[in-house]
Amino acid sequence: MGAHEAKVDRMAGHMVRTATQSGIELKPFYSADDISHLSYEADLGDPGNYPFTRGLYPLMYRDRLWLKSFIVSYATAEETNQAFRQYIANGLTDLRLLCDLPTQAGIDPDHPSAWNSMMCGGVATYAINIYEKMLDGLPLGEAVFEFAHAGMSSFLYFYGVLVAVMENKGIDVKKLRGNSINDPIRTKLVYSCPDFPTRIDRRICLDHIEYSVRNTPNWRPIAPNGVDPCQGGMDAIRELGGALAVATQVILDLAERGITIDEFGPMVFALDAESDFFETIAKFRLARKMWAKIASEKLGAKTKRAMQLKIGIRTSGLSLTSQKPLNNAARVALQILSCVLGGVNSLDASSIDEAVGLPSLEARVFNLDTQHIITHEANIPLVADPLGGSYYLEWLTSHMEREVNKYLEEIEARGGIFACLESGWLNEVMEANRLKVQREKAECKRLVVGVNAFREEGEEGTVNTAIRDVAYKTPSVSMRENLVAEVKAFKAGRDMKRLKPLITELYRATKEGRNTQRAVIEAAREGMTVGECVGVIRAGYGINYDPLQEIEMPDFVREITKM
Amino acid sequence: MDAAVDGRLRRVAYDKARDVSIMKMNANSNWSMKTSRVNEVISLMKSRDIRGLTRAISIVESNEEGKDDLLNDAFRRGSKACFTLGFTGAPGAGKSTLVNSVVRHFRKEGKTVGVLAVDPTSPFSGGAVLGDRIRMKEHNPDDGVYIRSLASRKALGGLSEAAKFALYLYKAYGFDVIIIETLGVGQDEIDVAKYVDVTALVLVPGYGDHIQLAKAGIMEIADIFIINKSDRPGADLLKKQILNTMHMKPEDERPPVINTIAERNEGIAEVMAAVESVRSRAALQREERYRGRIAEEIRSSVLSQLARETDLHLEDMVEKVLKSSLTPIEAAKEILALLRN
Amino acid sequence: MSREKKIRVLIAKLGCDIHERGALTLLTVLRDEGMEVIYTGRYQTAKGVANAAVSEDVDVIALSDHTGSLPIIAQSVLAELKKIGVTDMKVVSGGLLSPQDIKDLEKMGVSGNFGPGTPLEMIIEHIRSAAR
Repeated sequence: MGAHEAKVDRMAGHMVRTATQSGIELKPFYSADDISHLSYEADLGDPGNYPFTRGLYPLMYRDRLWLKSFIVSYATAEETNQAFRQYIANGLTDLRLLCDLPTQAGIDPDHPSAWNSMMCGGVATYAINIYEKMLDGLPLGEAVFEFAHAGMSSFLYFYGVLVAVMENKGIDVKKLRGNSINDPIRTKLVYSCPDFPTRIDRRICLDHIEYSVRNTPNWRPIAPNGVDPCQGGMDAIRELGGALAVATQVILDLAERGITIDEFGPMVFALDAESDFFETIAKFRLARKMWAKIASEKLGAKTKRAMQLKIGIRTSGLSLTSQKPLNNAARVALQILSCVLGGVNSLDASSIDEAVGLPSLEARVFNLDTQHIITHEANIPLVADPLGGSYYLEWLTSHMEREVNKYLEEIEARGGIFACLESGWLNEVMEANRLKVQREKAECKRLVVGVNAFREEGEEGTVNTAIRDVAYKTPSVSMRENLVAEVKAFKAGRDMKRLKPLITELYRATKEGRNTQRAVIEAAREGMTVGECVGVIRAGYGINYDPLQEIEMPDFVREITKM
Repeated sequence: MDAAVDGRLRRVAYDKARDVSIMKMNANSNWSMKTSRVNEVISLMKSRDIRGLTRAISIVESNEEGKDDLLNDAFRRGSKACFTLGFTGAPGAGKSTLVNSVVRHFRKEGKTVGVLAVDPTSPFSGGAVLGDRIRMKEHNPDDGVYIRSLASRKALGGLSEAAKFALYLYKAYGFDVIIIETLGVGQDEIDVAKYVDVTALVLVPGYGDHIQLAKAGIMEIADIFIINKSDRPGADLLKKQILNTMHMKPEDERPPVINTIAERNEGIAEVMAAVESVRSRAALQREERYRGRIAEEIRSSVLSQLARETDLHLEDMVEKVLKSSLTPIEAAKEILALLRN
Repeated sequence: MSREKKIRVLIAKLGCDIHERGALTLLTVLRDEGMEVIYTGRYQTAKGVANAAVSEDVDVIALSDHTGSLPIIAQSVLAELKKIGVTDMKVVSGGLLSPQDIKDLEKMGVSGNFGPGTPLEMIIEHIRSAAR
């Protein structure tokens, strides 16, 4: 430090904002007048009662705490299996599966573009053999599964593999519990997943849901996603609005296939727990309220179940910093707290080292411990919706409802959520907001501690350095070569006499507009890979086999298309 | 063979039609991307080495030394018989996606394609996001396609000088098809028509295009009208409005109006057919357009030179006008007399 | 016609990495700094990136990746550039990087190698000097 005067940092004594993270201007305080327009019966209701603003169940967490889960996925099936066993021994009940990025894009490890990122951050689950290894010895009939994948092929294919594995082991698939975070809009909006064009995504989504509703009633086959749009730039209003629009459209599409919302059962949203504490809590309460209303008033729900919205949370990766990673502990703790106060159903909290590398075991356990402390030491879950009735929170929830409704009307006026995606409007909205936030950060109108405010010059302390020393190893070249060789050997070693007719059936079902899910299960059982599943469906639609347009279709597939 | 399902067709056709990849590496390949040695650049272009073309465009665009030599050489070697197609229209019309599909079609026919995509320079920063290329990324690894993005870098309207000169270089290098894509805002659209054989105007329903259509000049220049995103409401109305503007023309002179949904690759075959049908008509006017271009080229070169020379005397003249009874008109005559000596 | 030479940058993402936010942020920031910027989009191949970089005659290729694969990616792009006779293209990288990754990249001649959270001013300055 030089000889210049020490200055008092203005930000240490004042806030630079008067609005929430999403730009809602706030008064210095709220009182009864601000919420006099609300009615307890119509707008809040007791926990467990319509419109479920205060929570889905009367006892809420007293009866059962929220599900705590996180993604467990390493480079190999064996490592992942070991990790699962270890976490289950430590009380984990929710198995979140994630495959590596090439597999999410719908290609096999022997595809040329898979090389760069294969096995980085996930297992290359290219076929049923890998799944069997990954799930070996795990309680398949009791564990709750979740697919955290991005691409649409992932939900169709991996659900198919999972069902095949269970059927092979003689486990009743009606016991299969869990969900896909299936959402045809976000696969394109945020990830531009190449596996299928949007219109095919839409059909696959419905095939998967239809099959699941009829055969695996405990599986929630769709979870409209707010997390990724939010990370891509959407603010809380548009995040929630987007999820509601997708869910509504999907239920309407299902009605055309003869499935009622009552048959479908409860909806699940995957939402983001962002930095703004109260706005996040309001968002969760509002989500339940708005879905209950849409379900009963617009979609004809008659049963209570069909009006209930379960909320699964991913805390915001965007809010974490690699500068002073220790600060992330404070951030995540607050985000977890907002989830508990918001009455969510399941929670996947980011680890403090996530901005630096792949999460370490210690950071994961710290997450779980944070949740245990919030529960057992701070006693917070003892009372349902403890902030209900707060002048500020109820005003904020009500105000956001008006804003979300405006957004939904705009989506309707533009032809519905799919039209908004295909016209590029959704991307524009997301991009505009992302740029707005970028500008706010650059102008210090939105502070990020350690980055544009309260920066630390000079050496980091020992704790921060230790967190940063997260050793992650990307798979070595020989590991990758082994995998490619393994895939080639696997493909060559299959019984093509049995597989070909099953793949033919998938091709035909695609072309003829029949539900493809059963065909996928059968073919996956015989060894169809994820790349082949994607390619065959694409061929069925008359578009090029490879979503990345680099390789040609295998000969046996070409023969099928000529038949 | 079903071309849509068999991805191999594209490459086989290309190999038959052309033995030499246009992304050729020179035998003595120690060649720096930063080179500005014009004779080297010219010889690379002659041997159809794409690095020559790419450097030539940069030299001309940045007005580096040797620009005039490059352009003169390009002009002298003659415009090879390159069919030039122009796509123009407002932002958001989906031009790049359309061009991407059109390139795909030409490639299936085994033709080499050169694409020039022009995007606006930001008036605030002078920088630009050149965002057309991202929609054509399937062609990145293809050695038979050359794509170059230019920023308009201009303050005035009209097709930028750099774009016009780049077209010369493309023609000197030689592609089977050249496609230029520009932002059609006002003068640009009209300008493009002078430099290409066939102009396609891309419109989108619901954009208030009836206002666009009313602007003088637009309707005259388009050889083909494309209504993209035609699944949107208002497509039929737009088509009617366009057809209304041509009812005075004899039927065989009316430009085709085609509906497309470029994202889904729908309507592209019709666009290609329309291009073919208009092409022969366009060939007849080629000579006239070519003369017009030469005239404009000469005129604008002369005027820029004159402007530069005038500037040398300008400040003094302004002072004179302010301090004496000299009028601006008389001042201009004085300068002209000076320059003529 | 403008007479200054503008800095041209190609921002590229290869392979299956879906994390685009850093690339998109850089895109507009560099534009606001007066540069001409092209983003290839995701799912690129090394050959595609090399072709694009040469076609566009860029001054700098900026590779973006968050899967920890930057050394592999940079190597493949440099190899493809060499195949078309270009050995003096400036390459910078940014994304998920371990200290070993940074060492490997610098050996290849790739500079910058910015980890997450690097201040934008630093990146801009580095690209400017790399373009000279």
